[in-house]
Amino acid sequence: MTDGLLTRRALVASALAAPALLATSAHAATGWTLAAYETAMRASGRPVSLTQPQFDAIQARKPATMKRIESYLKDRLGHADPAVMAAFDAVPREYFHYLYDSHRATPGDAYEATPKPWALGFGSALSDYLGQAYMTQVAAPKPDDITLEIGTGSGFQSALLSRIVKQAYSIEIIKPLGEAVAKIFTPLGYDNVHTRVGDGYFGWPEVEGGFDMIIITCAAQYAPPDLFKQLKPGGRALIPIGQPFKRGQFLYVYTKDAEGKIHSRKDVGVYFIPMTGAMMKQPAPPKT
Amino acid sequence: MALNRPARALELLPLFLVSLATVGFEIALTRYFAVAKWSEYGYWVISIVLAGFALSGVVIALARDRFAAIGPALLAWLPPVLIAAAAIGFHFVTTNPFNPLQLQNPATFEPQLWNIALYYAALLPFFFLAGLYVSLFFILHDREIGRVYGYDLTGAGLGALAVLALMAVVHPFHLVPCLLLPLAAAAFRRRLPLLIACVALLAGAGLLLLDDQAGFNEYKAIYAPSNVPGSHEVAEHRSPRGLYLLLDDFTERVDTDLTNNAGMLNLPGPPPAFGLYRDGNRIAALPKPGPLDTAYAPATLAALPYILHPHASVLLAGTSGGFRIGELHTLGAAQILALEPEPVLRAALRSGLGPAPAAAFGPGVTLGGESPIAAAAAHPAGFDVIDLSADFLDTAEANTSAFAAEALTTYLRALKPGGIVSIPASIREFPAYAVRVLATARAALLAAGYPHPEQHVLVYRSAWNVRVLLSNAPFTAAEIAAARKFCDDRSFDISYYPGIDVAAARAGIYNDLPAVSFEAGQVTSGAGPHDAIADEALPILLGHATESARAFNLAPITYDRPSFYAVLRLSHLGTILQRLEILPQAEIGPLVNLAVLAQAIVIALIVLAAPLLARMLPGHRRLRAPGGGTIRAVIYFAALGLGFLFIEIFAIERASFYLNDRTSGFALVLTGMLIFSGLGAMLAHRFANPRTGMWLAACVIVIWGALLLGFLQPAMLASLALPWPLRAAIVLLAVAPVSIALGLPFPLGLQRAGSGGFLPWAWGLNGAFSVVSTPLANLTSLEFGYDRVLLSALLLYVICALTFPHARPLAGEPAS
Repeated sequence: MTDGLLTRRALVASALAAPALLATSAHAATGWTLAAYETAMRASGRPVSLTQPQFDAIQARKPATMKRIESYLKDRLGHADPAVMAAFDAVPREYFHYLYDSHRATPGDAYEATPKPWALGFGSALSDYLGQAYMTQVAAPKPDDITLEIGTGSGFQSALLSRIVKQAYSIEIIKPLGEAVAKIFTPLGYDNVHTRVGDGYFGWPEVEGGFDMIIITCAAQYAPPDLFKQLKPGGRALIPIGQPFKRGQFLYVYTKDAEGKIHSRKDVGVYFIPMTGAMMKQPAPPKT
Repeated sequence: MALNRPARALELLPLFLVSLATVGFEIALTRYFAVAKWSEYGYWVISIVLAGFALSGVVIALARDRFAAIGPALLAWLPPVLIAAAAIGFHFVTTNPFNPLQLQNPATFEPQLWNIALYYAALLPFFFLAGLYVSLFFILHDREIGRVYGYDLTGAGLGALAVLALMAVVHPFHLVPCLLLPLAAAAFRRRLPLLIACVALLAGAGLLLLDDQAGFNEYKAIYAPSNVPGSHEVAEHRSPRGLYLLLDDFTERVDTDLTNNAGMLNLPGPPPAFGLYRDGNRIAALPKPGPLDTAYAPATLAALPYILHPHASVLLAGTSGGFRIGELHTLGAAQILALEPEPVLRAALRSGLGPAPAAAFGPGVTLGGESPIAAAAAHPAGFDVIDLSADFLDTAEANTSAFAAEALTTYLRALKPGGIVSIPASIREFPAYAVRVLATARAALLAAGYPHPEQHVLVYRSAWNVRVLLSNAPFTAAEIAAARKFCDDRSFDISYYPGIDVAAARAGIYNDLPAVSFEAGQVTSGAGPHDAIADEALPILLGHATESARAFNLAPITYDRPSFYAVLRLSHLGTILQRLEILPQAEIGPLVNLAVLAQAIVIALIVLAAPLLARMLPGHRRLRAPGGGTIRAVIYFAALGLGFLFIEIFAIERASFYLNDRTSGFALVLTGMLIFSGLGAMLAHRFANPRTGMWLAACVIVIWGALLLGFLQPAMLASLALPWPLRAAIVLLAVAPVSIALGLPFPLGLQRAGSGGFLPWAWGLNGAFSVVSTPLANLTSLEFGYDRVLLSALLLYVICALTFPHARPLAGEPAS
């Protein structure tokens, strides 16, 4: 692996290469080669070299990972959403394994047999893939959706969503992380991902019509009012709660009703659940 | 070789200095971990390395004669070695990439165990060598054990005092370089070692200051805001309470629970603010210059009591940097007695902090620093609303007592007829905290003379927080209707009011809240709506058993068991460990204590096994008490190690409550007890018959303890309103007699039984069981209360008196 700065020439070259990369990624794993990976990494300002056997070993782990995700979603949610599965298949996860504070790529960690969160530097972490799959399916993204993520982090979640939705917006508040991650989408041809570094409190008011889905991954005592203002009626907001390395995160799912009022659901299904309260034992009241 | 003449004061001065530096180093490490990482893990590491003291005793015990022979030379050369061990050790501590958060995930914890092992490797040498140094003084001056112990303890006491004073001026990451100075001074008696010590001092300080790698963990609250674009640190305040930093960045706003319908209600969000951080944890927002904008107040969860009492006279505990006072003005409160026990926050409100201006209070506001318990006791029937702010609990450790059942009873008595006590609880992770508040409320209402607590409680909530309202009159239909409208407008939920139909209420829940149990393993998702608090509120208020009580300890919070968090049942340890990954950070402390206890027991067993080791080594004599009765002596020194710290931990807790401040309670008790114990130790030689001295000490300790068990609580409550300096003086006066008595048993025992290899072994035993006692006392207090800790200590000192060692024959004296 090598570290280095991206030159202006390389940037131009990567921009030219982007359409080709988009084409290959559209064909999922078959077009994703070592050369494509290294070119995209270079173009995103994170140059790295792998040997072909190293790259092949990473790719060889992907099918088993996809099976784990499918099985997990079926187990927890009754079915695996084909759109979510396709997005996972399309997005090369090893591209997002990177330590931004020490400028070190760690693609060899991708598709691990025991899913775990990975540090990214600057207080951020790449969540484990099962949790991300669960959250994405619970969020129920649709092809015409416009989404907003507060806390870009590794960029993987926005990359996933971008394979399903129309436009994916993402705001990162940590300057060095946000500036670095902002460069990683274009080389993959993900031109429907829009990022900025700054205050997520006010959302992205320039986007007319608001958002169908908002994911807030940064710690908050309350959900900023402006974000709910930008949520379309019927839209969903998701807030995972818990420190970044804990698997047992709680997921708050907010919905906006037709009247504009917000309802929330504490989804404890990410990893842990159990419900032994008295109310569970009572029959549900008849609907009126 | 042991010296047969009395030691001059100058000969014992190096011991004083090394003890001073060692305790200072320990406290500096605690501060480092509290600031850079999380305090509970620092406590773990430091507790383990203190085992270095115990191990040094074992090593000397196994080769006592050799160490005695080279003792004077070792004492001369150890100070420069200690400087090197401290500097290099601390340097490796600061470069250790330990991330405690990863310990909670079974898939990521393994590398962190290695990092913990590296902490041991970095710190054990210093504490082992420091223990060796002190132990050598004991064997070289074994006719003056009382004086030696006295110098050791007074040095430790002044070391604690000195480092606490240093914290007011020195950054917590730079305390260790300062502590190298007394270590260098300890070499003053011989020129060459002194020269080398000075060189080591310069090199060590240079290493720590020029290659300073200490910093905040990237997952602490301060990390993100200090790395957003345009972030500035605009003020810093150093104090023994912590390192306070004021940040100006775009993430800073009041952390209040706000309705998600604020937009619909045409209410704004909180305005931008400064963020005040203590040890990297956010404690408050401070207003920016200009008028305080609190127009958002009607959107907050805490607003309901002011809808029910529009022009209230309010006792407000916790000001949230002054914002809560502004909110109450916006909500129409007429009179506000605002209490901010956190001294730096209070000073910021009064005089400003950096660019944050002093608060401009409107009419009818009085700002105080006392505990809400004292203020409520001083104003019977004086308030319409007593409001505990949501961040009050975590702003200062001593604030936890304000949530105890006894405190709630005091508040109820301070209400005007129909008044309301408003208590917050977080349910972001465990609803069990709110359920425990309800159990505490029930106890308080019963104690205040309300036989039907369920008539006096109203519970409402958002998705993340609960407010429990208590009234001295049953809630009326009109109040309940107003509360329901308040909640409905804001997408909040009412979980309980007198007469609620839980099943019917379930249909209209805005914020689904499933219960969390450790027992079941089945995964279900989204089968709402639920309200885990509604399910259990009435049974709890009626005193019935509930489902969550199986997994969680929902016993009421009391002055004797004041911990607000720590709801896990440690008796279900296996289940807890299986669910480790879902535990909130607040629940980790007891588990760390358990881990420390387990390892301390292993260390104690190693020390206890020293005689067996001695037999296995070639050419070694048996390690036993000189007068016979080795088992008796072992019990004696082990019980001393346990008993002393049990009393110290009890005293720190009670002093923290009385002074309404953990830091000053800790500082006064620790330094006071060490210094007075040191003075007591110096009196040991005055007892012609050591057994008399032991019994006298035991009697003083037991009588003191019995008096405290009988009268301390009412005496403290009766004098809570006294000025702080007077209360501090009372604390010192209270610990002085027992501390003098506590200083006697160790030197008396050693004088009696400590010669040959047994002396350092006894020193090691005492150290090993001291390490055991801290987590044991913490766990005992969590499970059974602090009175049981004191009671156990008294029992231990009675055991000490009964197992006082047999006499040893001193050179030239017959055995008695």
